[in-house]
Amino acid sequence: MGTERDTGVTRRGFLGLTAGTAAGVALGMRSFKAHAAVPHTEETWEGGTVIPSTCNMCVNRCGIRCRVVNGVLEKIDGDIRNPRSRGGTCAKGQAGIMSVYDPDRVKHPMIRVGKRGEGKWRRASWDEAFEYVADNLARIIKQHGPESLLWSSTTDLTEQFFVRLGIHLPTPNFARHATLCLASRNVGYFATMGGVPDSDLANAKYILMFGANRTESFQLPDNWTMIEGIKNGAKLTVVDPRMTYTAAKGEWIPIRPRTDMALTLALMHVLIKEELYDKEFVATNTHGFDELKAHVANLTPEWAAQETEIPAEKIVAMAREMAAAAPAVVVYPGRRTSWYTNDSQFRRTLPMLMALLGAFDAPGSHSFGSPKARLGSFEWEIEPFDVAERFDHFETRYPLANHEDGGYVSLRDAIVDGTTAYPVKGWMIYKQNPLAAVLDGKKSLKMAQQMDFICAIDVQPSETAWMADIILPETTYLERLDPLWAPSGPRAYVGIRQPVVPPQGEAKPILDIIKGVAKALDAKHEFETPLSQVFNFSMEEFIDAQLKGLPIDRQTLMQEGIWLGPEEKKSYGAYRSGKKQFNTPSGKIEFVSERFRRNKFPALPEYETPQEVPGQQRLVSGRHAWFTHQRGHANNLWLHELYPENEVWIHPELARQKGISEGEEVLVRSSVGEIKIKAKVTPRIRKDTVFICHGFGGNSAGQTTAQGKGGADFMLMESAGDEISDNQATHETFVEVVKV
Amino acid sequence: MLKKRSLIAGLALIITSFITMDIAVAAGKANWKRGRVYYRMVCTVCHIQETGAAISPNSRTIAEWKAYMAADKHDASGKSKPKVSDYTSKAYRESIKGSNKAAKKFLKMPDAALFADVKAFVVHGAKDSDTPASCN
Repeated sequence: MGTERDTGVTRRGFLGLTAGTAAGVALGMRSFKAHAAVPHTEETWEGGTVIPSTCNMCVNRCGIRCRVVNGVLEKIDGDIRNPRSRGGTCAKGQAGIMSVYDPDRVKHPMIRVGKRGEGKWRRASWDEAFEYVADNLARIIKQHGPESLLWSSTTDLTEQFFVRLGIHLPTPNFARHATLCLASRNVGYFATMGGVPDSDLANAKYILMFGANRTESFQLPDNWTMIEGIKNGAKLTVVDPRMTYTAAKGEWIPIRPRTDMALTLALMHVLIKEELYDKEFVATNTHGFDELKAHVANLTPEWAAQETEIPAEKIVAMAREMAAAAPAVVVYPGRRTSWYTNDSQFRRTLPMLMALLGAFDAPGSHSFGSPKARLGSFEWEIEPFDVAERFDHFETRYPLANHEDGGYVSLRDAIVDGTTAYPVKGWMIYKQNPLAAVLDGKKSLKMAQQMDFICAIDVQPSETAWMADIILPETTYLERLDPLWAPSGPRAYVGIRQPVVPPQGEAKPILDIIKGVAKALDAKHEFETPLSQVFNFSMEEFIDAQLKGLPIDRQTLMQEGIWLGPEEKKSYGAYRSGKKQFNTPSGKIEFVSERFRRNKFPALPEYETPQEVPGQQRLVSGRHAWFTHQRGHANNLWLHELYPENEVWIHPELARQKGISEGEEVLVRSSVGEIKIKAKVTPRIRKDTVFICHGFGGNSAGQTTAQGKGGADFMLMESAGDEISDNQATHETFVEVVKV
Repeated sequence: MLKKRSLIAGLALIITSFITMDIAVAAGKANWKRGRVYYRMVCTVCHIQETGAAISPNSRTIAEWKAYMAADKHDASGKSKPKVSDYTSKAYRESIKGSNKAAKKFLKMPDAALFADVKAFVVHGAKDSDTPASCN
């Protein structure tokens, strides 16, 4: 930390430069518990104006109604008309107010003046900031080519503008959200059945979830209907080394970690051996049944019991119960599937199990083709197609992964280990915090230190932004107009995200930031298509193009907040009858993946007994109801009030052995790092496993609420990725818990 | 004399370009990324306008796409041009260049090379390929 005499500003100075408004400070002073205690009806919050919009505190993008009084956002409620949220707003959604009024927020362009990460900054005008970014990008492009730029961003409605700028430079080196989250699920399901199906949780009679903690992570209507279903007799089985809130809603199966595939293979063994599988569905809709039958012939429940520590009779009972409930069975695909190095193969076994049960294209099971509004397309300028190969050899190392997403672990390791095909000199980061999200945090820091130039576009001075050379402040989702949102779901609709309050400070929407960078870059470098030409449109024009063909105009949509399509009754049977084909090489659900075989991966998922480290526990991580995403949640004053600090969960027997008491600070260490964190002694975790909630232990001095609170899981996790998708494998690390 | 030399040089360049293009096409060096741009900006736009739905590369297998492109028959309805190659031809690009950026951009490209690029894209993105592609 520098001193006040330095040419730059200190953290205190940084905060002074970015301090919130009086209204924001006042809101920040208010307790969230007191705020949330007021009944959630619009009548209780009189006055002001109610503006409909779309939440951005997690990926569900619920419909919200925002009450603004005297220019200050006072209250966020759910929009009852929205099919995906039906009036619900979780704690995260309500605490979105503090994303606007967070006193730590970056509100002006900030240029680094001290050493990287030292926290010395000076305020810059936007003109200077655009010149600064363009100078550096143009210099790197001139010296090393555009491919020496790494382009990182997180999935959201606005990401396309940032990505499009990278496409037109052109750089091939994108690093997107999927390989920190769900890439392995996508690869496994696409290979097996051509896509990730929807799950009819409301009408299922048996629901099997592996690790998924959706009743805690996402407060969504299909969870509410699932709970109703459970009340009416549906069975929920949750397989997880930890007893989550979701597991508490059903039966908890405390599986030995990394043996999930042994369970799914043994379940298939029972279904086939006892002829409980859906023979008609298998004959019509699947490929490779005979090979599967031979493959699982010896994978008995007794064998799986040794691996999973789930009794053989329990495995048999589970298979029989599922068969009895079929086809109204959901084998839940999962969302964050960044667990193990064999994750794509494990995920393949879930649709395979589903196919044996015939749990597809029937009520209470899985399906494709939920209602979805068809948005019009914006006509972009032609993108360059003579683009260099990626620096990390991603396409050849991971031939079946999504090459446009890239893989964080492999690219980070290639840069740090010096195995890139060419130098990587610049890093543009939009709305992503890889220094607090990618495992082996120290190694990620080394990657950042090797860059000539880093620019972060963010609302918060995150760990990654704090290491940047310049931070460009973006508006929050409550201050800007975004592209439209038209997801598939129970009913087709189009939602709009629009400004509810004016931007704080000088924050700009991403499209304006991209335009500014594009214009400055055009003056310094000749691109195939001038960048200013690529972005020569307004957000309103972009939205109008999306609305083409829909019976609503932009003004009406902004007023209403949502356009609802006609109610459609879902029809079933097209796949079961063979009329529709799956989008796989065989046109069927592939027990045997020809695509995997061709690329020399096992065509049928092969199980390997996990190796363990004596005297150590396997570290698993997950999300909390108020902290599903590190970005934006960790430093939120109200969410912090609800859950200020995470803990390491350890089993009482292990705690007894080590003499550790509840709430005591312990040291947790792995081969790559160590953290101090409080112990939560609970029988809700296996003795061979410890759990740490993700999103804590931040080390950005700019985030005064989050800094140093709790422990950072990513600092302990060793570098590992799924062998097929390169999804980071966050549950492959063993740690030692030490009494301090 | 200078004019004659320039003419000869120009002709040589054109011939060389065609030979190079033919060799590239014959050698399977078509640019699927260029084909993607043309397919998405010309073929898909028209498919949506005329039929209300896109035809994704991942809706057919590699063998089906190869057979379709080899047969060079656009569709059996008789409502459209008879050949697939009609839609990659210079004449077609010329006819829509005013309203289509890709047609304008690729106006001078030899017909065979552009056809090969489009073929390379649909095969690369076929449903049994390693990288199935949609129209988006």
